[in-house]
Formats: sequence, structure tokens, C-alpha cells
Amino acid sequence: MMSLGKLITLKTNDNEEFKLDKTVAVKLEIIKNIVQDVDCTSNVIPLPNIDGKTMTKVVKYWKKHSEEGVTEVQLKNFDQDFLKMSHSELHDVHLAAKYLDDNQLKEVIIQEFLDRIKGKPIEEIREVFGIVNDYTPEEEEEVRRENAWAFE
Amino acid sequence: MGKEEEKQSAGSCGNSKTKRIRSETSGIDWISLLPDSVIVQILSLLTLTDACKTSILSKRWQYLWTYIDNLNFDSRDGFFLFKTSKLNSSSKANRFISFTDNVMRLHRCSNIKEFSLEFVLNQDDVSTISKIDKWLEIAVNKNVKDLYLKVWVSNEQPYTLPQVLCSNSSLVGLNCKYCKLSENCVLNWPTLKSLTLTNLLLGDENIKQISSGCPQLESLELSEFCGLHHLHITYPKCTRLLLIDHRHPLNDSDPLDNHCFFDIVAPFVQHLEISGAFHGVKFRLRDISSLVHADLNFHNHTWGVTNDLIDIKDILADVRYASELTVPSWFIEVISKLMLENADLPLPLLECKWLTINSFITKCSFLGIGNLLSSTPYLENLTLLPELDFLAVRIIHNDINFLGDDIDVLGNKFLSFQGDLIKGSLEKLKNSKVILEVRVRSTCQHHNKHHNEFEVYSLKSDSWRSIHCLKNELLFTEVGKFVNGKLHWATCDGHLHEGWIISSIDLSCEEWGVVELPCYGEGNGVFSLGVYGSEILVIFGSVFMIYNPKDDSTRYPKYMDVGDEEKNLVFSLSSPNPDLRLKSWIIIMSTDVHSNGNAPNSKAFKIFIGYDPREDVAYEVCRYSLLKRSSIPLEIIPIKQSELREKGLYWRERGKLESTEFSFSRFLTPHLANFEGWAMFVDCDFLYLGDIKELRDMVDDKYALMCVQHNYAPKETTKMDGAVQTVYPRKNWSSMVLYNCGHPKNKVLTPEIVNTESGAFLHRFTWLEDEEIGEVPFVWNFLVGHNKVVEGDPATFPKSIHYTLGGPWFEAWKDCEFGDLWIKELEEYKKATEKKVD
Repeated sequence: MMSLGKLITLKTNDNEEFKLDKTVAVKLEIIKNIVQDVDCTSNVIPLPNIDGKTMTKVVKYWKKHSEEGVTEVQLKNFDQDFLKMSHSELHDVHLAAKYLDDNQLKEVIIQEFLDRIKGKPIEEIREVFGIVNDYTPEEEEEVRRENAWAFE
Repeated sequence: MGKEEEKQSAGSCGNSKTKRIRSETSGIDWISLLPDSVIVQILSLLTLTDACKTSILSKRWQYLWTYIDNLNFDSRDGFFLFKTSKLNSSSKANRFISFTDNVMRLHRCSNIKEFSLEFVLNQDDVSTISKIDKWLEIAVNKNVKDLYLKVWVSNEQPYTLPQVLCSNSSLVGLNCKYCKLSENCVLNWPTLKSLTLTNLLLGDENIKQISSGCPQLESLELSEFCGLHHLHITYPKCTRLLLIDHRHPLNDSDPLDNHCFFDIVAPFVQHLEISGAFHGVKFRLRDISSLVHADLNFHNHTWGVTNDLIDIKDILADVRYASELTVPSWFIEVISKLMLENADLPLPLLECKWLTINSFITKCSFLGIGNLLSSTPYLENLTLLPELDFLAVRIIHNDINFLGDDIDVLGNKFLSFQGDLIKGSLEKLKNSKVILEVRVRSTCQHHNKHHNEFEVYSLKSDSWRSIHCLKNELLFTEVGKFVNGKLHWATCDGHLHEGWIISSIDLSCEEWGVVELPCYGEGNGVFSLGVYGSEILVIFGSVFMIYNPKDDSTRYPKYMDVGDEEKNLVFSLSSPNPDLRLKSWIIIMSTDVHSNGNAPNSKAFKIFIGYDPREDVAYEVCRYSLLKRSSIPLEIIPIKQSELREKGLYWRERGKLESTEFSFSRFLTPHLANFEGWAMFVDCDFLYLGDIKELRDMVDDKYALMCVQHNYAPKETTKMDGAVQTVYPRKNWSSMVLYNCGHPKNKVLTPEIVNTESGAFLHRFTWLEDEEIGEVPFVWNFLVGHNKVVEGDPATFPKSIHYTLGGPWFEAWKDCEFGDLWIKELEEYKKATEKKVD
């Protein structure tokens, strides 16, 4: 097992390297676990499922959230900015968070998806996310009729 | 400003507009690509009605919602309330039942984590009750963990909990309101950790079963309960016990038994809260030896003074091991009163280190506080919260006669007296300073100018120091809020409705400061501060923002729609809650001295003005005339029909007999004021010539509402814009009404009633008896063309003029009686607004 006193390098599937120092890594259970599982003679942890662009975001999030003396307000403001990303980026960060088993980040992403859906009529949700309505008009009519209790 | 504006608009529009991110050019539907479990998780965060609708998005989504593991059914969901506004209430109930039934039928997930059902049945419908039984059975079969049940059937016959719920081995949390336990039920919850029972008649037998059938119990909360005599909770894991409001669940006014007594044995409870009304009830805490935190904020107006002390001493002795203790103001009042008779009044020795006293500070209460402090030798932290809650005000009123000259004593003598009294007890506290905020209403100056001076007592140097504020005429409206080493006040320049700033005093260097905020926005109305952690919340009319004193930054919360809920949040956050993060403790006392000796009412008086877009200028002038002459803080809120429709509070179609947009919406006043305190409604065609405080001071809590009781038959047959005048009893009474919003009778004025009842019902106050309607002098609703001024009789001089036939803002009524006064006011108003623009 490697010592946590050194820098840890995370390497993405497009060969981008992220060096995290102890102060960040120590606070992240996820990294600790990965560190314990991986052969760490090189101190490089490969992340085969994550690309550099996504990892940049994740690391940015981790760093902010492990800053010394950062206030809750600052974190809230940071999150608000952080989440201003496209659906695809959001999707990728969610996958990365899932792979890295970062529950907090996962929740934040899910909340953002929720915020983008909440209070919108069906047509607008379809439009916002580009959901293709693959019901035929007859099928849609039937679903609406069967579930009339939910629509009327 | 540019950046702030951007921030604000980002906040105010929430996610719907500014954050709208259109489907990306790639054309890939990213959300549908998420794994099922994640989509279900997102759906479970939506309301159930919205989640069900996603079945229509695409085939991928058709059944996803049926895997949600939290099912929250709430008949108050907008889906049932507003979409179906034209239906009567029983078909609304049917819709809700059909919805719930279908969801339970189609639900596919094998487990339910959370199930909640909030439902008010209008009639005792047997088939509905069997349906509720069935839904609960499904939930139980799916091993429901957290269950929240609020089913109200009727007073006589509450919903009876089915036995499957009473003995259940999957429940972890159970919260029941308005239900009933059947007489032969067996309570057995082997996995239950948290139990909350509200408005339930509990007998000793039920408590006995709870005491033996819930070995995992960690937290027990009983609200609106009565009927028990022994509360013995001896589970080692049960560390939290909350008792709130002792009263008969089925009968608001009469407790079951006026001299109820119960004893509490809870040897493992660490956190104990006894709050709310405990009128006519006595209790003893027999064994609470693990107690750490005790909050005794309950009130009781029925105990006689002589016996009180024994009880208070007993209770204090019972909680003597608690390290954090909160005591209510009436403890202090009782102790203080008795000390005036007999100065030597030993109290039990308390081990507490953190003490919070909710007390209005009078000379008398210092006796009690001093005594309490001398029996707390280990005290490290002390907070005195001179909050003016209703109870405190009542006690002060009682005490005014009792205290005699207390109110008149001013100046250093008064301060030193108080200082000396408690100084001895405070010496152990480190870094203590005593701040006395003295507000003197100067009698020789203009009536609403105040002179402010703060006296700071420092323990270290044992000396007093005065700090004068920067401006002499600042008006302080609330108790200071302590954040980041500074006390903050909302202050204005003496005119109450303009020039609001945050003033602060730095306690380390004892210097005055003014907080420059980048932008207050377009707020109007009352300016108020709240504390949230290390930040200050600022409410200014409809503007809500957060100021961080540490880095001097401001931000607007993500959701800007400051509904009444958010406003309440601010007030509740600033209410007596010991902020454990404060390091050095400061005693903050506020002495507001008024010549008449009345306890000050720091909350603004709410005035709702009926708003009609056709009469915008009438509204503005009415508002201006109110604010200009008022010597009390006012919060003026226009009742705009379009806004109410958006909020779903108003949905009736406009009838031909309505001359204004607020013909009916006016009756929402008590609802809009949260059914709290007094609020006024007034049509916009009024011009105020007198100080509204005079009218406000006339209110009498015995009335449900007060108004000018015209005996009036209109001469004209047409009203505004040619709308037809109708004649009815209590005519024109509703044009200006002081509502006692908290009066039980006014509770009927729900949006439902206001939207469905006839004009006659509403305008004639049909929900009230004659003796429930108070009268105020006609000069407060002086009808142009009807009432007359009698020369030389000041009692007939109008305080507010009502241009009921149409005012000078309509061309045809330009030359009406008193029209010149209105036009003069309009010109003044215009000048004032121009000035602001400059």
C-alpha cells in the first residue's frame, strides 16, 4: 500500500494525468479504497472508464469540497456554477461519480437532472432533453386513456 | 449593478428560464441513457403526480415510475386542488382516491421505503375507509419502513389504525396524525426507531404497550396529546423525548381534565423538549438522569403563583444535571415576583454550562435572572433572548402595574443598577459584555424621531461606555442580530419606509458601522434581518437575500420566489435558538422605552390594498398617503388578482356584478396574513389623512373583524365603469376591514370558500354574528357623498376618505367632493418618486 503522504496520480483513458495531493485524497474515501486495491508501485491509478474532460470536472469538484475553511455558502455557489454544463457532460460526470463511488457527487448530479425536469409540462421535458416520442399516435392515445387518472 | 442584476434574475427565474438548456446539437437523449435505477431515483424526487405523467414521454419511460420506492400521496397537491377547481369537493376527493388507488394497483417495486398519505375526508365514507385500509395493507406487505399518516375523517369518528400497522416488524419510522387506536389494539413495533403521534388520544394502556413493544425506539414525540398519567420510557436507545402541546385531540378549547398530572420516567433520554401549551397540567420528571439538553419552553397560564414556585423549583431540581438548559420567561417572572416579596429565595443548584433564558428584560426580571445565575456556578455560556413572543408581551402587560415606576427610570442609574445586580454572577463568564440598547423616544421632537445610544458594559474593566450611533435619527426596529462579532440591526432614517440600511456595532472595538449592500432591489415594505449560521438574511418586501459579514458578500438564494414560507423561515431562524457556534457570549438586552409604557410591537402592521390595473394611480396614492402619515412600521401588500391566479389562490370567473378586480379576492386577507395577528384590507379608492396607528390601536381581540358600520343605501345606481350597484345589508362594510386573522371564525376564509361562496355570503360577513364585528368611527371610512363633516366637530373630520362612487382619477369624477385633496396628494407622490429616480 502506498503512503498517503505523496502525490497520487490518476490517469484517464485518454492518458490525461491528475495529481492529487494528500489533503484532497485523504478526505476522499473513494480514493483511499482505490489506492488500497491497485498495485501502486508507480503511484498511478488508471481510470479506464473516465476521460480527461470529465475528470477535470470531478477533480475541480473534489478540490473545492476539500478546501480548508471553505464555507457552506461558498460551496453552494460553487456547485451552482459547477452544474452549468450540458446534459451530456452531466451524464458523463454522473458515470464517473458512479465509477468512483462518490455518493455526494452522484446526488448533486441527480438533483440537477431533477431541477431540469421539475415543474415542466411533458412537451417541454421532451424538448429540453430531446426525448423522442416513439409512441404512435394510437399508442399514445391508449396510454393516456389507461392512465387518465394521472392526466386529467 | 449589472452583475447583481444578473444574479438576481438567475435566482428569480429559477431553473425554468435562465437555465433552460436545449437539447444539444448531438441529438442524443442523454437523460434516457441513464440507467433505470438513476431515472427512478430522479422520478422519486418529483411529486407523485408529476412522476406518473412521465409515462407518456416515450416507451422507455412508460413503466419506470412504477418502481419508485417512496409513495407520497397528498390531497393538497396542486393536481387535485387547482386543475379541478370547478369540481365540488367530493369529486375532488374521488379524484384523489382514484389516483391513489391506481398508483397502488400499478406499483411494481417490491419494497416501499417511504409511504405517506395526507387526506381530509369530507364525510364519513365507509368505502373510502376500507380503501385506506387496503392501501396501508399493500404498503405493509411491501415492508414499508417510514410511514406518515395524516387522515382526518371527522371529530367524532377518527380513522382507526388497522391492526396490521399496530403490530408490524418492518416499520422504522411512524408518524400519525388525527388517527385513533382501537380499544383492543396491540401495539408492537420491534424495529421502530422513531415514533411521532399527533392529535391522538392516548391512554396509559397505550403508553404501556409503547413502553414494552418498541425495544429499538430512539425518539418519541407526542403532540396535542392527553389522557396519560405515566410516561415511562426505559429503552436504553431512547435518547430523545419531545412533548408538545398538551390538549384534548378532539376538542380545542376544553382540556379533558383541567388538573391533569403525569410523571415522566426516562432514564436514558438525553434530549428533552417540553414546549407549547401545558395549561392546567402538571408533571414531574422522575428519573431523567442521562439528560444533556433540556428545553423547557412550555407555557402555562393556569398555575397559581404561590404554587408555581414549588413546581418550578421541582422542575429545576429534576433537570439539574443537564448541561444545556433553556427556561421560559414565565419561570423568571414567577421567581422575580416572589423575590420582591422575599429576597431570599434559594433555587436548586444547577450544573448547566449553557443556559438560555427567554425573557423580556424588565427591572423586575433581573431579580429572577440574577437568582438563577447565582445557582448556576458552572455556567460558561449564557444567552438572554429578549424576544417578544405573545406570551412575553402578555406578562409584561400584567407587570406594568406591578412594576410601577420601572418604565420611567432611565439613564445611568438604571443601567448601573442592572449591571450591579448580575455582575457578581457573571464574573465567571469569560469575555462577557453587557450591551444595553436604549432607545429613547424624544418627546420634544417630531413624533417619530428617535435618539439612539448604546451602553456597553465591560466586565474586564468594570465600566460603562456609551456608543453613539452615526446618525441621530436612526430607527431600530428589531433586536440586534449577532453575527461574526458584530451586532446588526435593520435601521431606517426615521421615516419608516425609506432609507433602510443595516447598521452594526463591532463588539471588539466597540465601533459603529454601516453595511453597504450592493443593491436592495425593488423591495418595499418591511426590512427585516434574520440569522442563519454565520450569515444574515435580509428581507425587504419581496426581496430576499443573504449577506455574509465575513467576506462582505451578498447573494440571492437560488429560488427567489419569496412566498410566505421563506419569510417565516427568517423569523423562525432568528427566534430563540441557541446558536452553538458562537464563541464568546454576549448578553443582549433591549429596552425599548415608550412614554405610554406599552410593550413595543416590533412587527409591521400588514395592510392589503385591493389592486385594480385600471386604478393603478389610486393604489399608489392610497399607499403613499398611508406610509407618509404612519408612525408604526407598515407592510403594504397589493392584492393583485393576476398574481393570486398564478399562485392558484384565486380561480373564480369574473361576474358581471363585480366592479373591481378585488371584489372577492379581498376576503383572502386572513389567508394571506397566515391567519396570524391583525391585518387590514382596504380598497384602493381611499385617501388617508390620519396616522394609521390610531386605528391600529383600536383593535380588540374579542372581535373577529372591525370596520366602519355604515347604515347606507347608495343613491347612485351605477358604480365604477357602469357596473351595476347592488344593495345589501352591511353594505360597504367590507371596503375597509381590520381582520383578526387568528380568530377561529375567520379560519373559514380559505381560498376554497372565497372562490366558491356567493358575493352576498362574503360581503355581508355571513360567517360572523353581529357581536363578533367590532365598530370603528366612521371617519376611518368616510364615504364621499354620504358622510358629512359637521363644522366645529373634530369627531367628524375624515381620517380616511373613501371615493366610493369613483375618484378624481376618473375624468368624470375629477371635481368630486374632496377631489382636491387627492390631487394634491398625487402631486406630492409624483414629486417623491421623481426624487427617488434622481
